[in-house]
Amino acid sequence: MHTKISAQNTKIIGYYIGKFGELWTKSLTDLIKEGVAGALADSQIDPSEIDAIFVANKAGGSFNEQRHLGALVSEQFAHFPPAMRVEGACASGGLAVIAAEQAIRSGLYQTVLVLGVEKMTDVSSSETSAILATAASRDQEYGSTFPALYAVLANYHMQRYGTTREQLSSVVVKNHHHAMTNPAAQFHKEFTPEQVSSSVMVASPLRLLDCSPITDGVAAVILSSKPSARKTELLGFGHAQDSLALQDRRDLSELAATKIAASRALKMANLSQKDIQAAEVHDCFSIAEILATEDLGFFAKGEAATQIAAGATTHGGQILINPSGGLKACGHPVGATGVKQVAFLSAMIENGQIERGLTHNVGGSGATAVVTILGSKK
Amino acid sequence: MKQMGIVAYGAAIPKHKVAASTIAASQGKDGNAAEALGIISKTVPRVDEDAITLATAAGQMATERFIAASGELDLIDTLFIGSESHPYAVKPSGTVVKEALGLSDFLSMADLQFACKAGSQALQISAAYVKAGMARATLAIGADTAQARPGDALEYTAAAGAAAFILAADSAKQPTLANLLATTSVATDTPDFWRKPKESYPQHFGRFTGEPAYFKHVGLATKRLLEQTKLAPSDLDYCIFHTPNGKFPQAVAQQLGFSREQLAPSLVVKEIGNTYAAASLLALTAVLDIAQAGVKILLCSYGSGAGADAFLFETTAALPKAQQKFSNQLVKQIAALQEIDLATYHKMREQNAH
Amino acid sequence: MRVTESWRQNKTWAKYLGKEGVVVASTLMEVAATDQLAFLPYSYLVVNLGKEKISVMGAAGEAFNCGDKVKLVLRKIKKEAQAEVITYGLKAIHV
Repeated sequence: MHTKISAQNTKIIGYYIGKFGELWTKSLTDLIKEGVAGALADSQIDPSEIDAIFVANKAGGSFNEQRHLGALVSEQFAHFPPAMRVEGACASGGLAVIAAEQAIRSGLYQTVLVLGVEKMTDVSSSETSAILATAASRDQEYGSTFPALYAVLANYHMQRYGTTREQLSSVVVKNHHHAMTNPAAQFHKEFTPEQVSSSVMVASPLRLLDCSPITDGVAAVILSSKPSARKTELLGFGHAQDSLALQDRRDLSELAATKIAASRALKMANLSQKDIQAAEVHDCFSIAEILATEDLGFFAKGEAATQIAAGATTHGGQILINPSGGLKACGHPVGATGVKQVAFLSAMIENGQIERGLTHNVGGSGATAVVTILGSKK
Repeated sequence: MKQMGIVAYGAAIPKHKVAASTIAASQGKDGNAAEALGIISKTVPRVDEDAITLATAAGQMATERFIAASGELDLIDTLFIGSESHPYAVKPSGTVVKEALGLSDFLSMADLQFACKAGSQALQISAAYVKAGMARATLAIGADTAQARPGDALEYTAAAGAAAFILAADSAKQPTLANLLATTSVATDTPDFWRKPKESYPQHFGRFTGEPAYFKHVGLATKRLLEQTKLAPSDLDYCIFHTPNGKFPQAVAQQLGFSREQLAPSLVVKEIGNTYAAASLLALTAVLDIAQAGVKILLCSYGSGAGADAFLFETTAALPKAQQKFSNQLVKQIAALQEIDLATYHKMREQNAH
Repeated sequence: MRVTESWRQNKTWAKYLGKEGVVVASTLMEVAATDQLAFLPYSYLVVNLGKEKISVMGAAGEAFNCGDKVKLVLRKIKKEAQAEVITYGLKAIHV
C-alpha cells in the first residue's frame, strides 16, 4: 500500500514562510502572491517549471467570502498550471503536501507547488469561534467550541494520568522560548508558567495562553522529483482518520489517527522515533502537544507532560519539539500551518541543523492526522 | 362509559428559588408585602428554560410512569397545553413537546390560553375526549415561566413550573389512579388581569382581582360542582384552589366551608410561588402523591379574564401502589431547590426578560 | 443552527429524552460562539449512556465533574434573535 513507485525520493526544492500575525494590510490575495513569489525565489526555478498546484486553506469561504482558491493561485502563473484546493480543517496543509506527493508519484507531474494560506482577521472573534467549530461534528457537537473539545481531552488526560496545570503551562513557555529565534513567528514574547496558568479561562482547564492564536499567514513549498542539489527529501508520509466527534472515539486519552499516521509514515521511511531529531507537532492547544508527543511515540502514554516540563523537548533534550514555536507561538493560520511545518524543518535540514524531521498536522479534534518524515540522505 | 381518570402524572419546577425577602430587598422594601401574600419563596427558571422545556419535563415524568404501567405512547391521541407564557404567539408549544416525548404524529393538538386556568381547561378538554370515546389516552399540561415587571407586586409571586396528566378509561391493563367524577366551569368577561401581544408584562387592576374576580368565580364553580354532585365540603378529603398567592386559597377555602387540614397539602405555593397555568395542577400532584385510596379531592382553578374550572376526583386502590414507585415527586423537587442571592436573582431576571 | 437543521434534529430528541448516564469528561466554557453567548458560562460534556456516548451542553447554571450522574432534558440550545425560530435540543442536568 505504501511502496514507492520510483527509486528516488521527492525533494523539497524551495520553501517560504511569510510573517505570521495580524496582517491588517494584507488580503488573502496579497498573501497568496507573497507565498508564490517567496517559494519561487528560494527555489530559483523558472515559474514555468511548476506543473501543478495544491492549495491548503480551511475556511476562505467563511473568513473571506472567497472560494475557488486553486484558480486564484494558478493565475499567479502565466501558464495557469492545474490547481486544486485541499481541505481537512487544520490538517489542510499536511494534506496538501501529501496530495502533491501522491500526484508526483503518479508520474503525472514532476514539480508541484504547495501553498497554504489563511486570512482570519477580517471577521469578529465570535464569528471566528463559529467558523473554527465547523471542524467539529455539526450534528453531534453543536454548542461546543474548538477549545471546549480539547478542554474535554485535557480534563480526561489530567484525570487519568495526573497531568497538571503547571505541566500544560510548561508547553507554552517552551514554545514561546523557541519562537524568539524564529523571525516569522507571530509572537516574540516569553511567558512565565505563572502567567500562563493565570491567564483568562476559555474552557476549563484551558486558558487563553493555552490556545493557539488567530493568525494570518502564508507558507509554501515546492516539491520535485527532478534531480536537485537540495538536501531535503520526503522520506515518507502517513495519513489516517478517526471519528469526527469525540463521543465516538474509542479512547479519549489519545488521538488514534496520530498513532496510525505516524506508524504509516515511519514504516514508509524505514525509520523509528529515535531517528528523528526534531518534530513540528500540532499544538493547537497545550494539551494537544502532550497528546501528540505521546501518540507519535516519542514518550509513553501518560509520561509526556513530565518529560516536557523537565526539558526533554527543547534544545539539548531528547527530541526538539516545535522549534518554530509551534502553533502557539509561531501562530496558526489554519491552512498554512501544515505547509509551514514542512518548510521550517526543510530549512533546518538544508542548514545542517538536523538530519531527520517529522511534521504532524491534525484536523479537528483528531479526526484527520497527517505525518511526514523529512530528511537528508547521508 | 366506565370510570375514567388520571392514569399517570408528572411535575416539573426549575432548580432555583429566590426568597421573598430577597425580592423585597430588590424592590427596596421591607418584608411586609411578602408576609401579606403568604409567600416564602418562588421558583426562578434558567435562561435556557421556558414553558416548553418545563412542559416537556413534566410530560416526560408522566409518560415514563405511563409506560412503566404498561401504557404505550401511541395510545396518546391528544395533547393540550395551557400557558400564559407560550414562547410563540403563532406556532404551538405542544408540537415541540410532542416531538421530544415521541408521541404519535396522529395527534389532536392545540395550545390554550386563559390565564391561570389554561392548564385546567386543557385537563377538562382531555377528559371530554376520553369520555366521548374519541381518544384512547390524552395528555394535558399546564406550564408557565411567568414574567412580572420588576418592582411590581406580582414580582413576589410570578414563578415557573409545569404539571402533566395522562387521562384514560379505567382498564385492567392500566387502572386509573384517580377517577374523574364530575367537572364544571364558569366564564365571564371580567378584566382583572391582561396582556396584549407586544407587551412584556401583564397589567392587573389591584383589588379588583380579589372579590369580583378570584373569589366570585372560584365560589361559583365550586358551589355548582357541589350542587351537581350533592356533596358538602365535609364529604371531601382534600380541596385545592388556585394559588395566586398563599392567602387567597386559604380565604376562599374558609368562605366555602373547607378546613385548614383539607387544604394544607395543596399549598406548595408558599415555596414555589404562583406557577400560573401549572399552579392548581401542581398542587393536585402534591395531593395525589400523599393521598390514600378512596379519598375525594375537589380542585378549583381560576383564570383571570375570568373563569374557573372545578373537578371532583376520587382516588383508587391503584394510587398507593403506584406511589411506591414514584421518584422525584414535587415535594422532593421543592426540598432540592437551591436559593439564589440578590445579585444572581438580578442576573437571572435580566437573562429571562423578553 | 438553521430552521431546517433544527427540524431534522428534533426527530432525535425522543430517543434520548430522560435517558441517564455518567459524565466521562467535561469542561466549563467561558468563551462561546455567538449563538450561545447568553448561556455562558456553561459546561460541555461527553456522557456515557451505557450503549453509546453522547456529547451535550450542560444545562445553564449547572457545574459538572467526571463521574457525575446526569439525565438528558430538553432545553434551549441557542439564544435566538427576536425574529428567529426557537432552537431546542438535549442538555444534561444532574440527577
